Amino acid sequence: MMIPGRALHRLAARICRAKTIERVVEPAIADLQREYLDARAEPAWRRGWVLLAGYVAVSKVLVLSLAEPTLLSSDDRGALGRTLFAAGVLMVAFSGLLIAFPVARFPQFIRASHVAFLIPQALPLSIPLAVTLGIAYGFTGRSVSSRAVKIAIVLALVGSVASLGTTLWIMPTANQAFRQEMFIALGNEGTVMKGSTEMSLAELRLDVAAARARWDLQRAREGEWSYHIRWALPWATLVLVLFAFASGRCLTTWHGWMAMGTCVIYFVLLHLGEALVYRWNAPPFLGPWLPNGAFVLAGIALRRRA
Amino acid sequence: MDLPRVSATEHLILELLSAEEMFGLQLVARSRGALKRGTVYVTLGRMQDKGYVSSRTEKPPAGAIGLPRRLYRPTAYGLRVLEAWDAAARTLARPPKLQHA
Repeated sequence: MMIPGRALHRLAARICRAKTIERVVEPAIADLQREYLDARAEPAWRRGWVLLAGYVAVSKVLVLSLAEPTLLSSDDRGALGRTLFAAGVLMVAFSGLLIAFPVARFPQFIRASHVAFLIPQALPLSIPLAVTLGIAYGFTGRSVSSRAVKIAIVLALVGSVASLGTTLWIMPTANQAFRQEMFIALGNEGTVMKGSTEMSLAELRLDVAAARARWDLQRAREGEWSYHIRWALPWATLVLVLFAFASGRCLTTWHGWMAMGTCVIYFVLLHLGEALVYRWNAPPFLGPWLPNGAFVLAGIALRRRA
Repeated sequence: MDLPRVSATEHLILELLSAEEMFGLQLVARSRGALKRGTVYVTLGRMQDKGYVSSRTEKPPAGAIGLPRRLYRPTAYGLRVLEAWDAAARTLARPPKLQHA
């Protein structure tokens, strides 16, 4: 039986003091585990929500525990403060740009409430960009401790977990809600059919199986791509941040243009992965995971070289 | 003499715990949104350092899996601090008596 929180417990053992683990981290994980066990009889979406809320809370506990003021120098606090500020501003800016595209398609029908439906589809792309560039802005040229680096990595982990929750549960529902609103606004009646980005994971699996059964391989590929990208893309935040620290080692050599270049390369590799899946019939999991795998291997190679 | 300080969050936690022992998640639920799940454990840890609350691990029921949960209760010192702050708040809330010549 799955018991949540074990990975976070192991992470906490590596980055927190024993007293903090006993007094702060373990109570949070214990409550998460009990809440999840109590939700066993609930529907899957409710269990998923319990898990997401619990993981976000425990991740926040880890970040707050690490950022105890007495253990961080003013340089560390400055670097982390600048990182959080820059990442927040950039996330809003990138999300705004990504929301602008669908708004531009239906400008006469868009209301303020529709914008809320568009935010989840922007986050999996805006979070990795914002966090990677934010860390370049916050850490470059400053002497920081390994503790501050660990906190930044935990922040990236929180970003990835939040993004994963969004792609798996929130984004499909929000996308479908937006499409339904536009469908009705265009004078149609009834319910708009779901595309692959609007289906839940279970619906996607069924759709792919049905497409394969009737030899609709294009539809099957689209469904498989959509399924795997939802699992792979959220980890871009953590992968890019780990790569940044591995390549910089001391991040003083990392600049904003290097961070932007890294993000561009990530998305180029993602498009390459898409081409591999759609044009060259590569296994469907390979395309979405290609950039993550490439950056993990590159990071390991750079660390060994350093 | 340094007087003990109590933040609004710590005051709320002491108030809730003065009624009964609770888990962290129960405190969040009882606070109706005033306490956040991510920060309550850090605050409870800090309050333990200050001596306002104490905690014990729950004896897990037979067959239970996962980490044992932690129950929190106010210390006698924590209750005195709560009482002192409440008395100060009541005193300061009264309108000042006018001094007649």
